[in-house]
Amino acid sequence: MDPRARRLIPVAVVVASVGAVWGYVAVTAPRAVVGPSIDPVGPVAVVSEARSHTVPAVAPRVDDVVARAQSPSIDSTPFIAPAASNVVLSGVATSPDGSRLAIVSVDRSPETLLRIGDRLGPDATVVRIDDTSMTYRLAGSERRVLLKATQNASATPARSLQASPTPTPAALAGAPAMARSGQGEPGSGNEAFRAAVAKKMQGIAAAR
Amino acid sequence: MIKSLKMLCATATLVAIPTLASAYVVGTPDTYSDLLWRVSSNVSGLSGCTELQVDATGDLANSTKLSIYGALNCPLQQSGSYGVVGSGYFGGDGSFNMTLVVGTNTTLQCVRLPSSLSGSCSYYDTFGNILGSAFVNFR
Repeated sequence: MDPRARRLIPVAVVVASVGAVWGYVAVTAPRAVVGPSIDPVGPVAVVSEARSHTVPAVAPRVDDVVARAQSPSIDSTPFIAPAASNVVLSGVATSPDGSRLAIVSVDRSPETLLRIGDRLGPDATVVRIDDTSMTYRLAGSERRVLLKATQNASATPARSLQASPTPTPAALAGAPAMARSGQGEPGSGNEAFRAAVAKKMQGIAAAR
Repeated sequence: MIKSLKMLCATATLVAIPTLASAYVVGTPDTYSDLLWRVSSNVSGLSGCTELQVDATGDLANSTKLSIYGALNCPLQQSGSYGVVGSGYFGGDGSFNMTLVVGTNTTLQCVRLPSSLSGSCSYYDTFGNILGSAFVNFR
């Protein structure tokens, strides 16, 4: 073989090898566009900020709503006859069937969920729940408890009151309920989205 | 012989070039329509708004971000709605985070929702003051 040719063989082999290795690394290296591209500080910062401002949770978890709605709503701890001042209404929730639930604490006891007709202690019964209050009947007379946020409204600065999203008739009249798309009922896409989200979360967990 | 080897080198180089090209991928977004979250809240003016009906668009295969848009229906409150628009993203911890502008001056922020996409959120006003909490249930 020509000596010059012999010298070129290793060069050709090296060039081909380098190109193949470089290409393999480029293809298999983690892609920034695929991996979690969010700065890890971001969610942490958002979470810490959100949690530091979060009002002590009054919104119940749905499984708690369902569980409590199906089970006796008053725990076995005996109540004293609740005076209105001892009863604190922390929130009003709506259960899946559309009925109202009151989030109530008596004498600083743990909050519980009550429906209309539920007992509030041995002698009192819930008779009415609306957006901002709960009314219970005790010894023949009715007592109304306002939502804690409503009670505090008069103490808040006027600025934040003006900023609250109280809908005006004009706002509602200009924003009709959403029309039916004709494609599917609301919620019909939930299964597919949930499956896609679960798959994405698995991918993120695997990449960590 | 030398000519053959030169041809071999050139061929090897040409084969390597495409694999050295950029790994950027242009994906195609999907739209997930007719999504529904049940919402319960004690915020004055929003407690009757119990249905968050939205679509979500994004390329989940190549991205961790979604656009979310639709309306917050208020069937218990004169049957009106608030338009909502915002975005969602998957955090590095695998959670789902969502921020939506509701109407003209309120923000609904849901942070670290698990794979069930249900959990606690908060309503804020335009000044960043918290108005109250909300619970979203993705059935």
